[in-house]
Amino acid sequence: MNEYYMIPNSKELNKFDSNIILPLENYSIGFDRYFCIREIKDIAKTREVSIIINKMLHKKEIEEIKDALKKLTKIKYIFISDLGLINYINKDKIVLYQNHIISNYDSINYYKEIGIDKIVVSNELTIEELKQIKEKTTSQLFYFITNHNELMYSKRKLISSYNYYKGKNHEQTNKITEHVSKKELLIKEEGNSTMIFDSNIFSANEELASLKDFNYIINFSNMNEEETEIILKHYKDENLKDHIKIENYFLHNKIGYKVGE
Amino acid sequence: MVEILSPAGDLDRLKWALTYGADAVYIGGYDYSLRANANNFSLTEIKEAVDFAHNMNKKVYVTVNIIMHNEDLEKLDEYLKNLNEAGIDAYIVSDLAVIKRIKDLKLKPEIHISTQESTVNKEAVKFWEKLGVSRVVLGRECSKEDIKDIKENTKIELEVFIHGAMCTSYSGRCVLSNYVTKRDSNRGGCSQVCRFSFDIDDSEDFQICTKDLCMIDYIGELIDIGVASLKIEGRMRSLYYIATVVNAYKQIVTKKIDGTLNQETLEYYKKVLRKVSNRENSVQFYDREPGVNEQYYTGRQEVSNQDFLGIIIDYKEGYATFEQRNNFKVGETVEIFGPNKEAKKFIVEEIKNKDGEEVKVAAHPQEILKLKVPFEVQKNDIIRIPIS
Repeated sequence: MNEYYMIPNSKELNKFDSNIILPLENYSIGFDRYFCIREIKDIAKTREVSIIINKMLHKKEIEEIKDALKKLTKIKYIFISDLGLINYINKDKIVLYQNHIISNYDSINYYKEIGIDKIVVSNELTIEELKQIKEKTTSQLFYFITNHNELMYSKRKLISSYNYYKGKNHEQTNKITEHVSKKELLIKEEGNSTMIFDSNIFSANEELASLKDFNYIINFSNMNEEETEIILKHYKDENLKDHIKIENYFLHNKIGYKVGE
Repeated sequence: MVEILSPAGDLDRLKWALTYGADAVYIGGYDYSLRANANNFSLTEIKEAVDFAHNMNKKVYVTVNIIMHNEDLEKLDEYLKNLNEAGIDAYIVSDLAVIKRIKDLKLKPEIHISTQESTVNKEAVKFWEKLGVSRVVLGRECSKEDIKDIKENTKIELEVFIHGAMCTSYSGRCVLSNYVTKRDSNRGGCSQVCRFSFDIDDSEDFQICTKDLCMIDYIGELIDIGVASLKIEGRMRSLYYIATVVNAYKQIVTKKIDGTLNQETLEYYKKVLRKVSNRENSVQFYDREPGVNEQYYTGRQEVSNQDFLGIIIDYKEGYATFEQRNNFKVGETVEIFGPNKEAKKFIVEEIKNKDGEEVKVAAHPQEILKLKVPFEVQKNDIIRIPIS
């Protein structure tokens, strides 16, 4: 049976009643709240906890995280983006979250052959692609069912550098609008990196029937208090859109890749 | 000896890259390649490319580096087998589905992991090593310490980008193009949204565009670290760009290895590379965390380059027959350079048209003319405005 997992946007976790996924401090990016090892261990005493490590890890980080991971016990799953972590973690605990990279059934099946049988499927696939992936795989699949879709991850300080050059003082979390398409994006600089998200809340709730064999992830990061409350109240409803403005752009737009398509 | 790896968008550019000193080239077929809108190669052309390269004892790598969607898998086996039969030396791949097919089909070419996987640490390289790949193209975000650490702790070959355009994002971790323009960045359709302009608060000129990469000052260090391959970006770049950039880096590598590389040479080739580029460049991540100086803030700052004056077709009795590419005239100083040759300057004294009549100006694109040259030159040498 499928499960709901939630990434909280607050350290007050009581309202997040499902499985929670906690972003590990210093090794995650793009979230609202991060949790240190001590906090995670405390929370794990009373609740089912998974963690997420979604940064690309360079020399210092890949060395330091090895010890950090040893201190974490009673963790259900560890969601990882950097393939280097596969060498450090018991494969039963790994949920591979290579966003934008794992986009077909064959690669998921090959990961299973090498012992990785829990996969977060990329967030820009169509519903037909997702259904086909489910049909042709036997791995446990996870999917971000409600969130601000992550669209870009850069190891650059994109807002600070612009502010410095222009003598401006724009906030490190901000909205930007592309001039031609008028698409609104959410940009978030943290440390030496920046992420860009869809400024709309994505929801696949209308497709719950088709996605019934996936595990669902709801990421509350970058949502305000009102949005958070509405989603917490209606997150299992297929008609979530009756309560809040949402979109499902990628589910129903096949993306071409050659000029003219 | 370290490999100079050049891009080639078509057969012509491939031949020029190899002639001008590349030890290997990377190319894309019509499908499965991340530059879907480059000219790219048919299977017949790939076979011709392989024959041409192998005759020079050089190599051809083919990009099969899109992130596969389900529908892409259908004809993949056939394509991989065809590339194998064409005799390519390596597949450059991003997707595990491709690795699985290559292994299942027991195909001969090596597997190289594309920079799209953004591999930036030794543990990730070890992961690829266990899967049987021969080489990893490291993420362009790697610092010197990252590269050294990876090299010291792994066994497989490392390939490092040294020159050309950069993604603003970690490669592979961006679908802005998908969302903003409905073109799939990880399947070769990237519309470079990172070069677009945005509103932010009350400002209308927010930019996230990066300058290009230029590692000319660090080639010696990369060789000392033990990097196997130095990669130049740009399968959509011009023939002149490829010949010039490949030649510059080949000269630097050769001089580093024979112990004659000095600051004067580096400064000269910096000027050469600056002249041929249409965008500003920087070292990016190798020796620093990129900041204000590694990005553009004032829109697309690309200038067209008209330094490329002509290509030598042959040379007899003091006259070179050449194909014109940009305007130049009698009395101007030009220079000619070629594969493994340093540039030589001279003042243009005489230009003749196909009827043997003297003309004052080489004015028409691709016109075949004769030029009096006071030293011997060879076919495929290039005439350009002197580097000053």
